[in-house]
Amino acid sequence: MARDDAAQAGTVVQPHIAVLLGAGGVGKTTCGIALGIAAARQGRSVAILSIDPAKRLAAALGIPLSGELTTIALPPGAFAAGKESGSLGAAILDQKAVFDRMVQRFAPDEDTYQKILANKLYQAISARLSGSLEYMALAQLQDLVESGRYHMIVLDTPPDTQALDFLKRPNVLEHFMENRVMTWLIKPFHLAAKLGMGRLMNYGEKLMGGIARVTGVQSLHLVAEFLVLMQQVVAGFHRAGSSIQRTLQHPQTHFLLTTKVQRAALRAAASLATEMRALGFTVDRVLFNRCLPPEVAAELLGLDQRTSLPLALQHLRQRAVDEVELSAGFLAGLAAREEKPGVLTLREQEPLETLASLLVFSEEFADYLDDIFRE
Amino acid sequence: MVFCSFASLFNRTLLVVSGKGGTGKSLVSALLALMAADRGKRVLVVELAAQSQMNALLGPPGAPVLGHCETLLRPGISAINLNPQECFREYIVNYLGHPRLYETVFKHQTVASFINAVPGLGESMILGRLLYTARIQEPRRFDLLIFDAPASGHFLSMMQTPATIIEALTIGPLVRELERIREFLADPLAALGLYVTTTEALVVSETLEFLAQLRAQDIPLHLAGVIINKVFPPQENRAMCAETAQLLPRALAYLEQQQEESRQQRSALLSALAQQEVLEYMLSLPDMGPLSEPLSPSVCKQLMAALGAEEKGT
Repeated sequence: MARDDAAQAGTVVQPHIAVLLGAGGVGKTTCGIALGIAAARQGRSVAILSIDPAKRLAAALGIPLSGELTTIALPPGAFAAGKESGSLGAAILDQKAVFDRMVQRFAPDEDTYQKILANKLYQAISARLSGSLEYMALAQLQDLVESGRYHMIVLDTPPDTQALDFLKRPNVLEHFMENRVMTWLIKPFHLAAKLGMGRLMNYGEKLMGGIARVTGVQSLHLVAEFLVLMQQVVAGFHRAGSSIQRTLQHPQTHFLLTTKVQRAALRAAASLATEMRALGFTVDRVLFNRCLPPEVAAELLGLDQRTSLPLALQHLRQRAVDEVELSAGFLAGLAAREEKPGVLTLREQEPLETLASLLVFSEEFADYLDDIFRE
Repeated sequence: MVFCSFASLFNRTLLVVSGKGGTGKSLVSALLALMAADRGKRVLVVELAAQSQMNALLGPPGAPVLGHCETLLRPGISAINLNPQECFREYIVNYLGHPRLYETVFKHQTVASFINAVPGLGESMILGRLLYTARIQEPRRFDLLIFDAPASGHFLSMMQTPATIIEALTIGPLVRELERIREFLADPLAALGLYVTTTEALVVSETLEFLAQLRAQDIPLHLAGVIINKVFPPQENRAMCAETAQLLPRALAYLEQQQEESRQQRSALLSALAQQEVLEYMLSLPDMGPLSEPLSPSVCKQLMAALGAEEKGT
């Protein structure tokens, strides 16, 4: 295969993949970008995939929202000596563009592709509905992996409730496809809808008739048509699905659980860790983000507890105490079930809205990168 | 303006609270629930989260994590953490009254994967459940629902779901239900939205972007106000700071820098918001430092006073 030939020629790289997980607002996207910058500064070729719907990072990095990797020029002084070959590309995925591209890629022929584009349901969902982006981000990840051109790929995931949908997506697709029954179920209905509902005779068709009572025949017809068309796309996607699954389980894929050291964020992080474990993935690193600068924390913690302070400083002292206790408690919770991820403590930074400030922040990740590339 | 006082918020049937992740949506939802309960309302806080927050914020210490089950947390306040599949089951069984249809058709593994494969169905079921509990279910069990909604981007696509599906399917029973949902959300006498922000630079820029999208995308929900959380109180007297400056020079410098940054961002935010004529409320919540759980009565009192301050007609 072409890929093996390339490997023999020494041009294909098995990339390290960093997947950032965490509740909303903990700084996943920012950490992901800083991590990517750090790796590029060490001379590696890096791709960052973000599905952060906020456009501010696209603006800060000067890249369009298109799904295409765009090169980010780092200032020459940013690279370590002799590491000027490092490169950085970033893509902030735009739902509709990525969706269209995947359909084009996996549609069996031009006719199906055009039919899908013309399907009203497709038009509606590809542009606007949430949830569909994760399918596509994973496919794009796989493309980048297979290109063999990257030492490191950073993947940013959606916040909150959707965070782990990301990891479940390949499974959802498999369920959908492994159910051969599905084809048997939808296709006759699709025909029956054209010929009249009276033709719905067998058990499968009765099931669909049951659904039609809820959605309406017309609606179900549209949904069925959409699913029949998409099924071929999904089938292509599914062939890619098992390699995506392998990529996610590869030892060079690292899951970084990002959190602020606050009760609510840590609770969300703990629940993510539990769910990840149930899905068979391990947290490799915990990023405690936006902690007090160590010298400030030391000062506050060293103070006699009885010293009376103005309210704002009392709050700051409480925060210093909480950061110590809550982070230890969180790690103890993981250790209790024999998970001992590495820890990276990141201090609160200046507002990270410019490339210059991201370059400064990226220095925090240098040691971590040394660790994973040494392994 | 349609609404003259903050108190009139509590005469709605549904308050939807959104904001960037980590800004304090759940805290604001909890405070609104406490304020409404003080006015004698029966409140249901609706969460949609991998990890429920309301049991920790409002429940007795050690209260179990909430699932898809209405749970009384304190007098007058219940909470539920919705699960879209359960909402779908309830839709078929309780609302359509077809328990057998559910048993024979929808419990079927294949149909379940069909349902999972239809995008937007989960979101529709969540919104439908809000309408059902607020307006349809008899007897009415709650006067006010407070929806601790998903963060900005996901929130926008969730709110667009009814219109998207209506547009795609055009007719049928599902479309009629979605039209009812859309009407309910769009009626400012029934439902209002509140957006929570802080004075961090990234959060401020996302807030302004969110408001622009909200206008551009024709979301069927009236945004009544913006709540700025974690606002530093006006600086305390300098004499006290001079004393502590000797003890904690670095901490004080850090704090002052944070406060200055926060002040600048807040004034930038306020001047941008001043141009948003549609906004009725612009409220600030003081920074209370790290919060203990459950919320202590004194913290609740101060935050509720800050939220309610505007109702005296300022």
